[in-house]
Amino acid sequence: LRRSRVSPARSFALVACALLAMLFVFQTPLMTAPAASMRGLMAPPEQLATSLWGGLGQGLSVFGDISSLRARNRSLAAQNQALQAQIAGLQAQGAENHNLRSALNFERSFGGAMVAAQVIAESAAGLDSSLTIDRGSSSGVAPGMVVVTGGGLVGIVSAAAVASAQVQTLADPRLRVNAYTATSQLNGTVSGGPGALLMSVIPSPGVVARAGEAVLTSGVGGEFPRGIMVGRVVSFASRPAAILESARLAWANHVTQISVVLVLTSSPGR
Amino acid sequence: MSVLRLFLLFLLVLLQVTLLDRLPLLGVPSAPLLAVVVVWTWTRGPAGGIGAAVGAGLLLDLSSSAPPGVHALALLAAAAVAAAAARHLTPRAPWVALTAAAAAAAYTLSLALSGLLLGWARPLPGLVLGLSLGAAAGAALIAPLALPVLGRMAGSDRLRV
Repeated sequence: LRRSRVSPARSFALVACALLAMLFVFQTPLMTAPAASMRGLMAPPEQLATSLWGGLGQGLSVFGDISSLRARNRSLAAQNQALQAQIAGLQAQGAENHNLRSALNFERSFGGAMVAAQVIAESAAGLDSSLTIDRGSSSGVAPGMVVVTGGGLVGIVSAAAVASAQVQTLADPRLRVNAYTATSQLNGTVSGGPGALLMSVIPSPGVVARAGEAVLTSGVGGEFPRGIMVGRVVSFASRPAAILESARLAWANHVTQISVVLVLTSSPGR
Repeated sequence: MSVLRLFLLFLLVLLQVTLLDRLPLLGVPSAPLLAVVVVWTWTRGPAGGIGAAVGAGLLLDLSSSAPPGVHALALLAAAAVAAAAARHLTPRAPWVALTAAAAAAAYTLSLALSGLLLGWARPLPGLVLGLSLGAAAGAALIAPLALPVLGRMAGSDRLRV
């Protein structure tokens, strides 16, 4: 740019136009498969990096344990170190057991086929929110499949490569989920965002949702099976003669804390 | 852009999507890439900035469910702000921090406009403002730290931090 006569402003404008054109080209159905394949290329390094951070974290925690034990009591350092390592291992196993048990409970109660997958990357830098998982079309994962944890709904598979897939989470404002409140039986649509989830509720005279009430998928539209936990009502705004009422929900999951998910490859209702 | 620099950007994208995005700063996901693109543009000029923004943005797009181009466009907007600031300001840490904050606002606004253009959802002004402020704070903190490192890599002798 310094050598050519094209001004920086014009260069930025030209590249922006090219990117905009690319953006619209990739919106066409024809480009869905190539885009998924390109995303699949990122999965192996992401998986490697995730494993690396996990190993580094374990290494650092052991190092921290040793230094604190030395400072407290040099004579019992070895014994304490062993005990600390054992406790850390048991705690890690306990947390993993809890996650797996809740996932297993969900699998038993759900009754459909599912694939367990590990989260290898997460993108939440902008208004979109997605996860990358280490299972793809080779494991039967396909776009449109519902993704859950033992706690409840995570989102939907938006693209699948051979060995990885992108999951559009409920925190993404593009995703809409038809749902109902468990006790008051109010129906509506849940939409996401980086803050709390919002539920647009179809009013029912004299009926209000209470704080803490569970919100489940209604199955309306067929995209999500009925009965998956979405979240809990935090607040409910009721206005007289309103076409739609609204409720703020606390999501059953938190996108930064999800490490293992279940992809529903088939549901009993289908 | 050399292969080594592209590889460094690739490593930074990996670091962001596999680790840093899972450690949100004050409830807002950190955006070190944004800060790096701002400083990169400042130390290497508009051409370097465009290359870094497009390269890092496309890699970020491939790691998210967003259509390819969304993050590249947003980082390009941030690089444009940095290029404009670099023409008029000296490369001192306070100016770089202020520029990074302004670039973060441009970045978030570009993401919101892309969402509006593609019909995802109507971004709420309060939400966009909140994300902008979070990204601005994060970028303003990181950018002055990245300045000496990237300045040294660029071989610029006029940097005074």
